[in-house]
Parts: sequence; structure tokens; C-alpha cells
Amino acid sequence: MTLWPKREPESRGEPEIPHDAPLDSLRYVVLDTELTSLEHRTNRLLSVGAVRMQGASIRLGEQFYRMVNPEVEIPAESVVIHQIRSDDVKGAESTSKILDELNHFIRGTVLVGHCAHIDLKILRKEMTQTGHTLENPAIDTARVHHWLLRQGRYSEDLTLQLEKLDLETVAKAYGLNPENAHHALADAFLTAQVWQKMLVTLQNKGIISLKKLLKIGGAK
Amino acid sequence: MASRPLSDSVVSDNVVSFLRSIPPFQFLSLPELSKLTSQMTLDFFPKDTVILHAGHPASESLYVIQKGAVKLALRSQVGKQLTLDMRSEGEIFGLLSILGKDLARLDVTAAEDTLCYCIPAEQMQHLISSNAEVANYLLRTSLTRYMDRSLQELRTQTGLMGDTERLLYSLSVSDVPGSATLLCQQNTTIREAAQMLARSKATCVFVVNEKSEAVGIVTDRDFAEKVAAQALSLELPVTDIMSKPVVAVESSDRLFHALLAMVSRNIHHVLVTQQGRPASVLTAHDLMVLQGKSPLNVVRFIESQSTVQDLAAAQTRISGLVPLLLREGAKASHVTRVLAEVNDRLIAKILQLGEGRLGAAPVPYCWVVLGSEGRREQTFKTDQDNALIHSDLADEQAREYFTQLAAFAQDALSTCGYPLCPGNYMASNSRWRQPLRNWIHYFDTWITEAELHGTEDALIFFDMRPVAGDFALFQSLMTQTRQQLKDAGLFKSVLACVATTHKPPVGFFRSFVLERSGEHRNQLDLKTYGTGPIVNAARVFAVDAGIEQTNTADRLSALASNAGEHANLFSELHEAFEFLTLLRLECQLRQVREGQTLSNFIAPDSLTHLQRSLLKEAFRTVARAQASVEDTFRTAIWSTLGR
Repeated sequence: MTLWPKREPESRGEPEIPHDAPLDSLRYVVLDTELTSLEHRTNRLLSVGAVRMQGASIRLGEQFYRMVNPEVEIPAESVVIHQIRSDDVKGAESTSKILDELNHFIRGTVLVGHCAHIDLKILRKEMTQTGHTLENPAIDTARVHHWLLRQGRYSEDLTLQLEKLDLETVAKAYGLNPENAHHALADAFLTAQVWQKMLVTLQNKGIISLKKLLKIGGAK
Repeated sequence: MASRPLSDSVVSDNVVSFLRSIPPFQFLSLPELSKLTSQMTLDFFPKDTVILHAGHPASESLYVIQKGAVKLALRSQVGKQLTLDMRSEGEIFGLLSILGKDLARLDVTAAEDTLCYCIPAEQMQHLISSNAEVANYLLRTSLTRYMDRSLQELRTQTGLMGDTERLLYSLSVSDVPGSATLLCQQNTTIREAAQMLARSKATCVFVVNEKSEAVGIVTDRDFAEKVAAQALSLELPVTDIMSKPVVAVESSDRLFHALLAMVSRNIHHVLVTQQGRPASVLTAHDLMVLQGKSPLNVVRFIESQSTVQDLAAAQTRISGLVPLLLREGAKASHVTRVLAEVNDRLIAKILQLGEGRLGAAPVPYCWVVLGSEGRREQTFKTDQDNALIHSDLADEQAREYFTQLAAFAQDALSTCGYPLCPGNYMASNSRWRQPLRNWIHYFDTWITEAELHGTEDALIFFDMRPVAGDFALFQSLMTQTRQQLKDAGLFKSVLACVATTHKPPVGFFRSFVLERSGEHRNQLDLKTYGTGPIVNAARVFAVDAGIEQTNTADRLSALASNAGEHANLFSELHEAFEFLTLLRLECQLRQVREGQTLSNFIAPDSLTHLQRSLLKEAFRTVARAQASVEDTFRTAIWSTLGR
């Protein structure tokens, strides 16, 4: 696998993504993170996985996966979920270096994540420590799915459906087979496949520009 | 990090293991596969997306279907779409477009929501030029699968390929550079003809009439055997030694037909005509050059044996033909026809050996085969289903001769691996070894006194086909029979009943109705519910229309070209029959490989998604055909059941 190459000479400033650009002309980075816990006050970034897309095409060679040494003990109840133990990340590179690489990987792209606000929140928190910034527009596939469901025909179980928006349920709704859940790269890839199909549905519903998309599914 | 089950290549690993399971990527090493994966994309095409447009710039990728199915179609000049092929999970498309480098040749449309791995054309070209196994596989499979129907369009592409084994099924006669024909007039003398032959490199001369039609052929063997051996005058006209009629194929026919003509008549020269005019000559040698192994080889082997024991070795060669033909992408009906021709040669050879031992037959006889053999639809080994018609002139002594000949043939066929017929429909049974007048009587009884149960057993006789001996006996029998069939409403109604007995399992919720118990629980009987009803439906319609052919595919295309009200149904039925037969062949081929007993059962679970949907489609067509049998022969059926 080709990991994203070492940093190229940094050009200044975030390239602006025109908000009226058609959705299938944009470059996306679909990402997912694993955390030490869900307690935002104390939690730390543990791993980040990301896949690049050109329009709806998933570029299998352009993947990003790093584990981070959180420098705190990883609670047992979370090890059970993501299977990353403190020992596994002892040799990992510093958070600062990894965020450097991540920033480079996502340059000029629209970020996509399932429940992306959680990922953005931890990334921003870590970035404040290391002096990075995160300016990319971001899309939450859970929100988009919620919007799409409500566009559909009213049905008895709609309320039920609207309550269950986890990645596994949504992926299944798109005919995908979730595997290796809670691995940041596997989940990012699964989300990318969901996003690939959503793009078609969205364009059929007349959502063709980033501006409209951010309105219905933007994440902050 | 070694302790972690999932590494940073969790996604790529999945792709690699998918690719590893499908040819030709299975030929690549793991590092090669990983490298390839890193250059791929995963793309999604919703149902009905046109992925490649005919006439547009060539594809930029090779597509490997991860999930879903696509339809490959040609657009005719009037803009009509002709579906050539369906591709499903684990199959590829876009190869021709990549290789052609100019324009896409076909429309490729997503038949359902489809996910594809896309390999950039550049990488694919690199792979093809650097890995012979990959190249070989790709070129063979993707070129044979639909060349059949798209030959005209794709012919220009074949110039790119080096592999020859597939050509028999994909090329037309005109694609092979045959030798120029030598022609002479009917009044040419033997001497002049011999001189013509000596001056050229040709091995035969065709004799033409005033209308430039070939009426005979003289080969170098004719000079040796006829002229030299019989000390004929060299000043006699060449017509005295020529063989006739001339076996010819049109230049637009597929090479397969030329092969079939050679195999069935055991000849080595076929005239190639262009709109009926002699154009060139194709020899067995030309075909052998193209085709390392060939059915012709097997026939030659059969011909060269002089004892039954030696002949037995032919059986393994015959069954070896099936995978060969299937691998080369032959249509199912072609496979069964080649098998039938080869088996016919074997029977003829056995009878020849029998006559060698017992002396020449005292009166003319005709050896006929029945049932699936008569229809040229055998798959793998089949039972001996045969009978013997001899001249009415046979006396007691002659009858004794045929008793011995039939017994000899039965033993020889057993030795060659053909099991005895459990129903005892064999010429060794005196009931099925009768003079012509008795056979006429048999058919008369079956037709006029038709009864549902009695006739069902007699049906195999209505697919009778002559194989060796004097075919005139068979012809007389058929002339008589056809006369009687003209208004045999009762008999046709019985045929109609038989054709509608076994309803195909289109079942509830469009799922399959499977065997509920026994050895084949949860399996599907392809013969009883699939090919069988088609054979029976084709028979009743063919008998009704006075069509002479016995082969089901032939019957159906004759019926379709009659352009009656069911013309469309017949073409669809034809396709369904091809598909079901192919499925049977592939299923039995697997059973042979795994050393299982041959059966016609298939487990739907073992089929790909696409095969399952085609199977349902085929069953629906069968159901429609049965409905129209009932419709056409309704009144007659009622009166039969009411009796």
C-alpha cells in the first residue's frame, strides 16, 4: 500500500473550494477516528483513518492510517471496542507529526465522516495543542442520511429509522456489508462507500452544489 | 504492532483477497497484487448507468465487477440494441476497449446497482505485456464469450491477438487464408486434371459446370486409388473419377461449421464459396494448424483403430473434448453436436468392425439412434439408445446375421463405456430390430392408438436419426410416418400433454421450488423441469408444423423462422435451452472432475447471482411455452384426458 508520501514543500494558505462547484467534481477525504473515550473533556486521539475520493471514485491507493500515542492510559472499556492497547501505540509517532501529515492529506478536499462532528471535535482539540488548524468544509453522512430519509415517503417506521443512524445501520441500508467495525481505516472506507452511493441519490434529488449540500448535511 | 489483527492495510487486504479469487489476477504474486490495488479505484454505477458508450473514446480502465452485473450490447445501424452478454461479480469488462485504443465498441450498461474496481488502462497494458499467463487468459475468455454474435463487429479486433486455440469458435471461414482453388470443366480429361494438379501446390481440383457451380472434387488420392488401381484411361473425362457432391461452406460461416462438415463426413477438403461461387479451399490441415487439439483428431484416432479394445481408448478422448470445447467458449449446442458427430463415427466404426468379422450384411440395414442421441443432445456419457431397421427381404439367415451384429455392437459399445439402456431400447432387443414394414406398423400404432402412458415411452422413437448403413430405409419410414402425422390430432394431443406435465419451478415469491427430500434435497432438477419440457414442447410444435429435424435447437430455429404467432417465443425458448444445456454441461463437468455420479441436479446456492436470474428467466420462458402448448392444443388435450 502506498501511504501518503512525505511532506512536499508547503504552500501557504488553504486553497478555497468554490461552493458552487458540482459535487462530482470535488475531491473528498472520508475519515474516521478512534478515541481513548467519549468523554470530551479528557479524551485523546488514538487513531485516524482516511480515504481519498475524486468525485464518487474511491482511490484505493490514497489511504491514510496512523495510530497516535495518546500519552495517557487507554481505558479497558474502550480497548474492547477498538482493540488498540497502550502497548500497541508506544512506538507511534508524535501527535504533532501525524496531524502535520493529515493536514497535508486533506488539503483542498471536502471532509466527509459519519457523525463527523465527533471527529472534527477531537481533531480540533488536538490541533489546538499542536498549532494546526482545520478549515476544510465537512459533511456528516449521518445528517445526510437523516435528510434523505425524511425526503422519502412517510411510513410507519420512519420515526424508528430516524432514531437509528449508526454507521452499521446506514451502511446496511445502502446494501453494504460492514466489516472490521471500529477500525478507523475500515470505517472510513465503509463511510466512503456509503458516501459514493449517497452522491448519486443526492444528485437525483437536485443537490448538485456544495453550498446546498452543506446546508443539509454540513458538520461543524 | 504484530499483535494487532488489523493492520493499516485492512482495506487493501480485502481488495487483494477479492482479486486473488478471480482469474486472471490469481496468476499474480501478492506484492504484484498490492501494487496493482494501490493504482485502482472503486466506482459505483447505479442501475441503468451507461458505463461505456459505443463509439465514444476508448475506456480508460479495465473494470472488475465487485458487486452487481452489467449488460454488454451492440448498437445496430438502426440504433437497436443487441444484448451480447451479461457480466456479473468477479468478471471483467472494458478489455477490448483498452486494447483497441481507439473507440469503445460496445455499450456497457449497469443491469443493477454495480460496484467496480477500475484498473487504469496503462497498468493493464503493462500487465498484459509483462505477464504471459494474464495475457493469455484475458484474451481468450473475453474474446470468445460473445464473439459468436458480434463477430462482424469485432472481427477487426482479432488482428491484435496471438492466441489461436479460440479461433475455431470466433472466426469465420473467410478469416483463414485457405488455398486458391483449381477449377476445371466437366469435359476436362483425367490427364489434363492431373497435369494441373502437378503444376500447382494444390491437393485437389474442383469440377465446375457451365454455371460455375462446383459439381465434383478430385483429390490426389483419387488419382492414386481410382486411376492407377483400376488402370483407367487418362483420356476419360475427369467426371468419371470425381467425388460428389462437393461439400461446401459459405465464406461467412464460422470455422466451426467447416470443422463439423469435415468431422461428420470424414473428409479433408471443404470448398469455400462466396455467394455460391467457388472461392477457395479449406483443408483439415488448415484447421489443425489453428487448433492444437481438435475433435478431428479424435475422429482420426477412431478411424485408425482396428479392434474394439483399442477403440475403448477413444471414450476418454471423447469426454476430454467437453472441457476443451467449453473452455474455448463454444455454445452448448455446438458442444453436444460435436459430441454427437464423434459418437456417430464411433458407432459407424464399430459396425464396420462387426461387418469385418461377420461378413458384409446380406440385405441393406440402417442403424438408428434414439432419444437424446437422436436429437444430437447428449451431454456426457449416455446410455445406448439404438435400433436397427433392415430390408423386408431379410430371410431367416439374414435375421440371424443382424442378431449377431447387434449383439456385437452392444458389447463393443459397452466396452467403450456406453452403459446399456435400462429400458432395453437397443437393437440387440429383437423388438427393436425389425424389417421396415414392421417399423411402419409400430409408428402407425403409436400414432393412431396414442395413449398417454404408452406413447410417453415411445417418444424417443420420434427423435430417431440414422447413423450408419442404408439411410434410404430410414427415409422410407419417415415418409410414411410424416404422412400419418398430418392429421393425427390424438397423437399431437398426447405430445402436448407430455410437454406440459412437468411445470418449471417458477414458484412462490419468485424463488425456486426445490426437491424436498431424498439425496437431492434442496436441489433443482435441470432436466425434468428445464431442458425436458423444452425438448417436448419443441417436438410437439415441430411435429405439428411438419418439421423434419430432431435436434431441439434446429427445431426451434426452424419454428422461429416460420414466423408464426409464436416466433418470438421460439427464439427465446432457443436461448433458454442453450443456457440450461450449458448449465447442465458445466455441472456434469464438475461432477466428472470430482468423481461424482453424473446427475442433472444443481444446487441454486452454487450459482452466481447472474446465473440465478438467468435461470429464473429461462424457467419463465418454459412456463410461457407450456402455456402456449396448452393454448394451441387445448381441445385436443381435453379429449385425451377425458378418455
